[in-house]
Amino acid sequence: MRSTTVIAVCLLIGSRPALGGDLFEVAALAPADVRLFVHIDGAAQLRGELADRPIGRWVRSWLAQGELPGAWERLSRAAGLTEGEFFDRCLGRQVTLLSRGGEFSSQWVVLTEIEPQVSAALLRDLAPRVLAPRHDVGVFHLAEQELLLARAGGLMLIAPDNDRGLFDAMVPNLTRAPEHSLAQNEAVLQGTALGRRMGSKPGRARAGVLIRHRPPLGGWSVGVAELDGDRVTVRHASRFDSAPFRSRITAFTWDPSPLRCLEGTGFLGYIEPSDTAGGPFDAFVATLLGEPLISQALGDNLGARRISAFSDIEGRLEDPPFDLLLPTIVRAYEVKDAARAWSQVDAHMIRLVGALNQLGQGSFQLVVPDPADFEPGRPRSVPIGPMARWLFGDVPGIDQTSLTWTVGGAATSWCIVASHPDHLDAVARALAADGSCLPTAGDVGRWTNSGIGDGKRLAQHLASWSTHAETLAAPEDVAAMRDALNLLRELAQGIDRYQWWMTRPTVETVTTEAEFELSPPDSSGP
Amino acid sequence: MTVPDRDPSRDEPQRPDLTESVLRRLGLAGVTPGKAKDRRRRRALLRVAVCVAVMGAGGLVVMLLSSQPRPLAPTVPSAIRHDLQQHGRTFDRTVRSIRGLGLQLPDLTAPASQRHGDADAEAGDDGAEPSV
Repeated sequence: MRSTTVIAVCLLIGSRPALGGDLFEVAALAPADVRLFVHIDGAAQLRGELADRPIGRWVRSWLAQGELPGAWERLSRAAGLTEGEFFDRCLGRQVTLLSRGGEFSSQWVVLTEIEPQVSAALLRDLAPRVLAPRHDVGVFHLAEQELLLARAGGLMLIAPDNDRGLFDAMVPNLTRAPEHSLAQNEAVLQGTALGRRMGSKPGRARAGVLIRHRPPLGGWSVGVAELDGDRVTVRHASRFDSAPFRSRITAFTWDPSPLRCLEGTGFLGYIEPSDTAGGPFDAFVATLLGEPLISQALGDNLGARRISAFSDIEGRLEDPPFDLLLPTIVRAYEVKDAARAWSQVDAHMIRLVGALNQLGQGSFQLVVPDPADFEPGRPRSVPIGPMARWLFGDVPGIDQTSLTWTVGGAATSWCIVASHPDHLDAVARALAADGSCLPTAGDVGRWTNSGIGDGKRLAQHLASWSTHAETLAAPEDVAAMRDALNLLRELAQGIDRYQWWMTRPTVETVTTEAEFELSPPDSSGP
Repeated sequence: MTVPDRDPSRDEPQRPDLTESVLRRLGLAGVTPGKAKDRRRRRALLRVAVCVAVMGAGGLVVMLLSSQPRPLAPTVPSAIRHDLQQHGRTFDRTVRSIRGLGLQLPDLTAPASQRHGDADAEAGDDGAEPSV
């Protein structure tokens, strides 16, 4: 409210201040029914920072598939500038996109801060038709670009001329702050708080996004992001009228730091509290086998956390070799008593293999292990290739799938189950060093989950699958599948490392903190 | 005394011969070739003049219209609209493709041995070499 008052006062005395305090300050000028609000502070800097990075290249190649670059280039040429210069001058300081309307048609405006002499030069070069001023605001029509422009001090409002409802609603607000605005919305207040909590240092590009969801989801999502060198920090909050989550809210206050030990062992891993367990995979296995994924005895021995991690094995090094990075999965369950966990997990796995054989009515020919053959403290392994082929289809290397398990750890004990011995070994070694992944201040919390990922490894994995898209999709969908995999691969290529922490304070709300380390600019590579 | 014969043309005033004109008005007489040629020339000139006037007016209209700013296709708003729709379709396809990655469950109502038997039979039908 304080910033709203400041804006209103400054507008009334006619000396419009530069925006730049809170990321959602412009909401004070926006009608209350705006549904999408995107504000970027330092867009020119953001463009410059991302230009030579793989993530910037991905954005450019994604945009190049459309018509916008061509249209922007023509508009820039009309102003006598290059596309980059025109972007920096028009939108490079503080720019806000606002949109409202129905599902299939929406009105939009762009509000941008431009130095008065720059906007005067742009208007001179673009030579729009001068319309009658409204509410002391100069209004212009750039017919060849179907754009309406309104200028008040250092602000310029831009909108399409064929759907001008939001433009007309915003023009009076440029000189007189409205009584009712988007600023009073709960989401804006939340977004402002997130932005302040993230802090702001001069010279950093920042962004704030607000989306008000339509029914049946309802509610809103708001997020803020800041770019600091290679690092992008994101904070998000959502409140839904009808929450899309089915899982329970954890009662545990716990520490996700063991996940950090797994860095370098795969492309994605996440840790979650064990009291919210029972997701679709667990239900699927229980339905398929008539056996729960975790036995009652092992369940009673479980600690507060469990880890899921995804990696791959190089098929060209397998025997027989195959040309694919075969995905592997690991589940690690924190256990209270490691000695008891050995016997509990052995007994349960023997029952599970028997259940798999029953499912295949003998055709899988899985060898039910004999407990007498188990070496104390050594990992166990049962090949389950035929069952995996039946379940996942004719994927190269699927016969290499195993059901393999061990109990390990150091300060904390973990019961680890994997689909390949190599992945099991990598995770067991990493968790045995969990003393090196001690919690730091701020690690402990009532997290719903926390995760880490390696963008480069994920990109390699997706690239491998894009050459085998026909094994994932029906013949008519192979091209779409390959396009999707390549799109995701290029995006993953732009992010070296990512991690997140998610909480669900209530059934309807969710908050996320995330950090992305962007891949360095191409020129700084080896 | 002899009375001279009376010359009626001397007694009555000379009158113009309107026969031609009356016959022409009644449509009963033709025009002389010279006049017809003259009329054709005048009609042709009139047509040329009308054409020139129409073309001039058309040119003027075109000139006036071309001096008005017209939208350059595609404009930034239309490009944004187009790209949002296009990227929306791409996003939908991507999401559908990713959803398609989920397990394609075999028919659990049929026994697994039977399903594998079918697969083996199909492989045999393809002429695969039997394993020794």
